[in-house]
Amino acid sequence: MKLIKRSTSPSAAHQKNLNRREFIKHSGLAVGASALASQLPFTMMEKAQAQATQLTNTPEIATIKSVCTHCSVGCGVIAEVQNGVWIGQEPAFDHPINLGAHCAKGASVREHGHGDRRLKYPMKQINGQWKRITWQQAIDEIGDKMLEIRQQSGPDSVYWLGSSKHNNEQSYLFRKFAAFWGSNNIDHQARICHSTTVAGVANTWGYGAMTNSFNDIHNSKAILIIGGNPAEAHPVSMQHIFKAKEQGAPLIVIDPRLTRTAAHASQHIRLRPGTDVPLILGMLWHIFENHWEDKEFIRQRVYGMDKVRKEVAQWTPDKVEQVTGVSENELYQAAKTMATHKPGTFIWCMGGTQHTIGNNNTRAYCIFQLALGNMGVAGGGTNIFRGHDNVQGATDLGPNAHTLPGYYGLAEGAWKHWATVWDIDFQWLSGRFDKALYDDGTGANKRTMNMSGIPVSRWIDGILEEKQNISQQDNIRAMVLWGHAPNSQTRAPEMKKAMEKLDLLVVVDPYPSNSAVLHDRTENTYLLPASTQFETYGSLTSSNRSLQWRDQVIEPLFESRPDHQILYQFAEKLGFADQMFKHIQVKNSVPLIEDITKEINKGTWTIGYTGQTYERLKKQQQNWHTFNTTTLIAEGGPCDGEYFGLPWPCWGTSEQQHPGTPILYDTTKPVAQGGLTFRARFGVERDGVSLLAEDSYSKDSEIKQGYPEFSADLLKQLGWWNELTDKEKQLAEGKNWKTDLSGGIQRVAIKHGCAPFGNAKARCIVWQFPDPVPVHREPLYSNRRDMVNKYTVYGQKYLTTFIIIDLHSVCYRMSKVHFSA
Amino acid sequence: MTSGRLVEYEGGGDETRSNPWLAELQQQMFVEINPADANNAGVKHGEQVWVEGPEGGKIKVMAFVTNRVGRGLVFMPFHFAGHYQGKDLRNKYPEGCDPYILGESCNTVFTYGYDSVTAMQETKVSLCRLQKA
Amino acid sequence: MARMKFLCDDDRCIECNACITACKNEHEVPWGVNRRRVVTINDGQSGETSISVACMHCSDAPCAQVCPVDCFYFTDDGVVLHDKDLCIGCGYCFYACPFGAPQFPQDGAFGNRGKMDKCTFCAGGPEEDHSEAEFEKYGRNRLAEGKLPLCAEMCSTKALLAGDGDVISNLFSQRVTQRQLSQEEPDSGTAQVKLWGWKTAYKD
Repeated sequence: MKLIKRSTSPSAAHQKNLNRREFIKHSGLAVGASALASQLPFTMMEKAQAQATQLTNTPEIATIKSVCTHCSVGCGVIAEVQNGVWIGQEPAFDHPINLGAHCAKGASVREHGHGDRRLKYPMKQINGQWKRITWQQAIDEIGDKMLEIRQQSGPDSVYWLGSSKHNNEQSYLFRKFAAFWGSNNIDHQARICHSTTVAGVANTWGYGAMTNSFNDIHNSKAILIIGGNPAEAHPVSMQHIFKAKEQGAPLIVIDPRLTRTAAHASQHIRLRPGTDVPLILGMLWHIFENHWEDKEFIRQRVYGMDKVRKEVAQWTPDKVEQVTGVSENELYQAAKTMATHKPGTFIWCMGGTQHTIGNNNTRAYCIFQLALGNMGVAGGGTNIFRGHDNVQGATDLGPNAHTLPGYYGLAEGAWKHWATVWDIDFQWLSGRFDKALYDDGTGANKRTMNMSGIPVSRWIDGILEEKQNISQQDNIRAMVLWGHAPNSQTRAPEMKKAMEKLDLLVVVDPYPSNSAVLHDRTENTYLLPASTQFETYGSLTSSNRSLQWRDQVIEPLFESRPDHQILYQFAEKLGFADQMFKHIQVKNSVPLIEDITKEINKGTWTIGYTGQTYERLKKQQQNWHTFNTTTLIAEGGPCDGEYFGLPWPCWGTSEQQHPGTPILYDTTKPVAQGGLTFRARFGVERDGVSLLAEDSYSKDSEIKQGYPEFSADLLKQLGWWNELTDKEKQLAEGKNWKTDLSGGIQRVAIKHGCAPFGNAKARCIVWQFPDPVPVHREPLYSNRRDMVNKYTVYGQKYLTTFIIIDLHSVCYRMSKVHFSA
Repeated sequence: MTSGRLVEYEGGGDETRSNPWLAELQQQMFVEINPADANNAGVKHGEQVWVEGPEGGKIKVMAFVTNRVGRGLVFMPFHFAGHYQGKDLRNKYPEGCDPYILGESCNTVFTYGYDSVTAMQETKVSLCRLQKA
Repeated sequence: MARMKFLCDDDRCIECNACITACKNEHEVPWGVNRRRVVTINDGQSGETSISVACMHCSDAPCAQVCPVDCFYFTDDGVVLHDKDLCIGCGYCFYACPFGAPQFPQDGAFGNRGKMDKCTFCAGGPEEDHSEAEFEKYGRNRLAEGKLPLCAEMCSTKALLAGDGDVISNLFSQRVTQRQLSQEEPDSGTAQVKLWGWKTAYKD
């Protein structure tokens, strides 16, 4: 194998008679390492003293702003493009998140502009050989086959596996597409990345996302990382972590490996994999034992800590050591560090989430922060580092088996809400789905429209399992793997079998991926070349809930097409394009991104995706240098007072000019300026005990106590109804803050200093989950036989749900507990 | 047995293993083994080793003997693909579309197990047997 | 006139390899030639430390002293460059260099090393600034554009510093002072000033 690759893109560059040197001759001073860098307190760069050659900038060299596509930190990328060729990459020193920095991946994104190894044109397998075909042929053949399967086995026999590599607009369109096709058999990588975080965290205090930001870590007095290795997975975040560390914050890393992050830790604790719960409860044991908990915070803002105390009491240091392998002294040290250095931040990644008891782990982490009163404060929070560049946005808006965009769920009300936004007839939409009723796993019968689809982690079983064990008409017969690497999923030998059993396998990806080679299929397999995010434009949501706008760097390479165009072509072929794109302009089969952003703004009230219009996002992108690198607030300039990326929730309509919420649940600011309370999401009382906050409210709130979520009725009770305009009243009547399309309910609540979603306590007991208070259970494949019986995996009842019998009941449980936001 | 990431690659790795600037930096799929476990299995640093999972999958990878992992634990990155149970699948890619670097996927040996609420897969704890290849 | 220097802050280097790919990106260095690399000491053990290494552009550069054809020269900024037209690929510089910086493409049919290649501090070579020949042999000339080496500019944690020696040593002392100030236990030894490679390269 000869791997020497001398030049950049021989094909692209030479075809157009261009070369990089042309650029260099004309390149001017442009940004430079210079003045901008020295303003930044820890950029630690200085201007080159060398005599710069004075050159004039020729107009045809464009400097284009984009965002790295490799992880969720959201690093700004500056691309230099001449005549359509990406000829240079410069550090984005003035970008508030990365300050010019990149990791190995970010520093090499320009290579994607060459794409030597890309899938270059649509291909299909004929007799086991790959043959080039046209787009039209591909869409026609695939579409015909799908319609045939739909006819024979119903819409649920086609599985649409989407991606966190889509931008927000494409993710949203993908979810909408599946709705119009008539199935919830759609999902994406978030399921196998942070789904347990989203479920665990949202069920603790309302929203399932990173609460603070990478930059806010500057304010931390202690940093705890468990099951995360940011030095390799999120290297640029280490810049912010080091800043805190160099200001004196101890860095505790809990990981079974001495990772590259652990190498820089003040304390590294090795735990036996899969024992996070006893470890955290063991730390809480020391905290309670020494009365280090924040009693006032718990009284005002936490429900159920007493139950936690009971569970914690049994995790004495000796027992913890037995199970986790961590000594009393080590754990005491870590607990003491966190208790005496406040506020402290708590960071976790896949090491905590990808477990059979992942939801217990994530809730244990939250409880730890609640006990110390580290929530809703700068420097504190649960800073959950997400994976892909737009996995947060795709989770919020996109391909999910258990919910419509914005975590509205799948109940009839949710469908009606979105049908209204889409301006289509609900009955027509409903008619797209299988009409039969199926066991939902609890003995009740439902339509598949109202049941969670098969999750991405289990599509294999949807193909291989006996038909009668699946709550849908037939097995999955066609798979569309759209921006998904199947080698990120477990059980490859079974996956191979599953792929081989399919009637139709379609891969839509910039690269052929493992899906092209793992199986031994010979026919009915298609590879369609998709464009990367540098070849299109739109918004994305980074881990810290900040939205950023990417401009298009280059035209789609070879015959590749952007995801939204391919979606349109499929919709057209499958016969629902007119309905689906009713309010989205389509030109030459390419839907207009801005129209999709508008539609997202129109419908996504639950998590505040309503205020981030494309105009505001584009303006922020042009002015990213005006944002403070710690607080992320714009200081002066056209975005004055806004937070970078208008981090969601960015309440109300854009006319309200909400600045975004940089830190969730921070009561020291008014809601109108990014303050927040814990969400009242789980009712107002439980067993006669109030779930609403006590004596705690966000700054300037007119209600000085806990309150439930806002609805038209509540406004009337409070006497605030008449503050709505007549037009707002019309739309708001009978609605609540999530479904009022006028935004009036949110506007009036915020005007009175209140959070639209109420003011409640965070809860330590999630009564709908298998383990209401997080407990330890040994992994299914444990290396400690002596522990297996003591800390069993779920009993028979839950064990059966793991196996595909009642496949939908596993999913059903998800929707029942509002795993959503 | 546990799994995780490398800085050079992302996710399934098809894109990053196709980028020569990155691919040059990580050219081999490997398994990190503690020296004690390596000695018990009779495997030396740099040798090929079979990692067998409890559900029938097995992969042939390079042994990386290191104290980075403790005794009784092995670690593998999950970004590799293109080899399957000892077989190189390079000739199955469409011509000119094969990533520069191929390797065994660790998920060939990772096993059944899902979160009770979200159906998250278990990729951080499973069991394996090491055998010199 | 500025004296250009590199400094790698090993307390911050996390071996993310951005410096390596940034260098590849900027100069289109072929597979197998690494002008910059990251060396990790005590890999996988406590005390693991990483340092990004390339030509340090030494004050009294040993490579220049041993070169039989005298192909090395110093720019006014103190950058050590060489002339590939003169280089005979003998490899003496490689033996002399304390940092293992010189690279040899090994593209000859009889085991000859080919012309030596190394980090230019993004300052090109003897050819005319921004000329095609300069780019072909040495890569892009950022200093002439008023920019600093891309490896340092893109460093993920700002561990790798490049620029005027006075400026970066000032910045580094500020960092060290900050770290010492924020050490709770000054006796722990962690705040010890470490200036990796500095004395070897610059003797001061």
